[in-house]
Amino acid sequence: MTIRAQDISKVFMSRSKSATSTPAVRDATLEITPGQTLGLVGQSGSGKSTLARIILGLLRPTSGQVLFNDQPTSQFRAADWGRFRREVQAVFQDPRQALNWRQEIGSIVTEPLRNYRIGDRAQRRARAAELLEQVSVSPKLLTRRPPEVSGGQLQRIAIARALALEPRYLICDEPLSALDVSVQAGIVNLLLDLQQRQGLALLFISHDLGVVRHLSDQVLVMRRGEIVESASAAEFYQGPSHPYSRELVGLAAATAPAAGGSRPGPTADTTDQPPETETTATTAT
Amino acid sequence: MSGPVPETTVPETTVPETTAPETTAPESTAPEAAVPEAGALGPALGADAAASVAPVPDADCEVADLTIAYRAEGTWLRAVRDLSFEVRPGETLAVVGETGSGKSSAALAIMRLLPAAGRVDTGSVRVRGLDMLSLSDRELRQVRGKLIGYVPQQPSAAFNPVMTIGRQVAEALVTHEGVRYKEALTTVTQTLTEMGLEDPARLVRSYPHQLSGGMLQRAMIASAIIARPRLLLTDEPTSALDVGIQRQILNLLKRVRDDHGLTIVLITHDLGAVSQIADRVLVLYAGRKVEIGPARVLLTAPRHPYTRGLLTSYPAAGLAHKSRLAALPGAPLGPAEVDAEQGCPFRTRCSRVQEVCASEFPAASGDAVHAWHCHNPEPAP
Repeated sequence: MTIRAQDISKVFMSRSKSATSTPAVRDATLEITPGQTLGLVGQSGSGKSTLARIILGLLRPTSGQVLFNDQPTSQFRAADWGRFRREVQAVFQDPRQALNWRQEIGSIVTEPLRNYRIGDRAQRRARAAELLEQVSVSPKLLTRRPPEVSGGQLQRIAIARALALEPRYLICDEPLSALDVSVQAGIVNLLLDLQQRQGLALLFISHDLGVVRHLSDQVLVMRRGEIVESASAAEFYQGPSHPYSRELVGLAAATAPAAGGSRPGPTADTTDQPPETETTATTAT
Repeated sequence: MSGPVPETTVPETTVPETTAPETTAPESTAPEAAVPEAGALGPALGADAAASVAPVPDADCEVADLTIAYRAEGTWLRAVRDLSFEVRPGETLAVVGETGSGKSSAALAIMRLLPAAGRVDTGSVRVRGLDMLSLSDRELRQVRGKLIGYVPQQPSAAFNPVMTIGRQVAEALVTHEGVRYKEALTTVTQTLTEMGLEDPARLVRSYPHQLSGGMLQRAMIASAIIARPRLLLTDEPTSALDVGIQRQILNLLKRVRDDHGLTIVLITHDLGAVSQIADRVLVLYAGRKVEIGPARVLLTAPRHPYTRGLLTSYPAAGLAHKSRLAALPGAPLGPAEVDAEQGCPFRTRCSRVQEVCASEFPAASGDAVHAWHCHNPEPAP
């Protein structure tokens, strides 16, 4: 029972002929297993989301394959995709964009049930309330529409929709970054709870190493389309091996606020650094 | 800092740059030595800036009892209420808050850039003693860029896409010093170099879309400081950038601050940035000031439950792996709720709430260094 991405590469065709096409993802291999969280961290443009979309079957890889319970998704027929989508659901970055603004919340969270013709109207209505309860959203919101609901609540609702079919796998692509700081922790707790209760497998994609490290059993670091480090959370805490990961960890340490009052104050020791010169991307990206 | 600050071609029209010896700049000079001339604007400024021996003003920016409202569906909703704070010469004040906290509104009000649907109901804003709210449009043009520099959140949106970087960076010089673009060009390339940008000669001919986000933000900072303002307002200058670039930009701001003796107001929701650069922190919640004090104190021993909540909702070092975080319940208030709130706006999410919180916004406790507005504050460490 796994999802395995094997040697995935993806090259996007460039419109201009002169541009050489660099792969967005190169030879990426990973495995998502029930009850575990796989963290995928990297900066924007590193290929995280492309890889997630390939795993979800929303994009076709240029080479390599995705194996769902050892069966390559490239050979899937419609019925196989139907089974796949029941088990593998996604949560995206910005719930304000991911949800239909003209649909009532109750209808949003039960849409997967309607698609799969599960239950009758009354059963689905009951299930909608149940789903909202699972993500700690008041059932009063069932008849509201997204514009009337806060961002944090909406992300919970997006998660509720993803849970409607009782999937085994949840692919979360930057689920926190569109949310206010004070509501992010609530979503982290929700994901932790859900995993504990339902044994969900999570692929948690983020640029925020602090959160990834906290949530994940295994941490992958992606850079320029390649997975440059794969380490257990414990190994990662002790010290990642790839220089880029070390750099990321250093950044996280330097930028993390001293929390909880027990740690010493921030050190302002970097004032005298020489000007860093940016060498990346001199022309259009 | 070592080495002289590149300032060879100071525009010819203005008065002597500084009284301090330029050749041997002592490390990060006292603020008064680096004061740029405020120039053309009125006696208020002239007197202030000319007085190289006169005492430094207490504050570069003073906001008092500021209330800002926005028009929404026929009524005016207050987004900022009774906000008072000062920014001291040479310091970096971080203004921290979430969506709807009023942090950007406050900054816009300081610049007199509130949108048409917004207005200042009461209060005053003084920048270097100058009453910003009474200035005419013409006077404002003289003040912006010269007295106050501004770095917006998204440089890609703030730059004009069909104008070269050079012309846009030079704009403040051309406007304030009356020099031509060609004459300003040397200063422009020097400033771009100072910002850590390579090949400035080519850069000035480039257009915004040819630059990465980090490079654009560097160019934006160049354009904000090129006319030597004293006060730099930055609104989320790093949030649209990648983590690595974020730190570079913060380091750049620090260096520019120290080299030019700038006073910085940094608007942010990022406590990491705060810990890196801020001297003091002002925490806003739902349009209200809830806590203000030295960064070191606020980040380690906050007294307002909201500040504490912000700190503990992020996985800190030492927290058990995969353990639950100390999340704040609920969400920040919407505009109508902010306006209607009679008591403490944080009470619905607060674990230390008391009866009095519903009826009365608490007065300030603490002292001139560290103050908080809370009926039942976190215990002192």
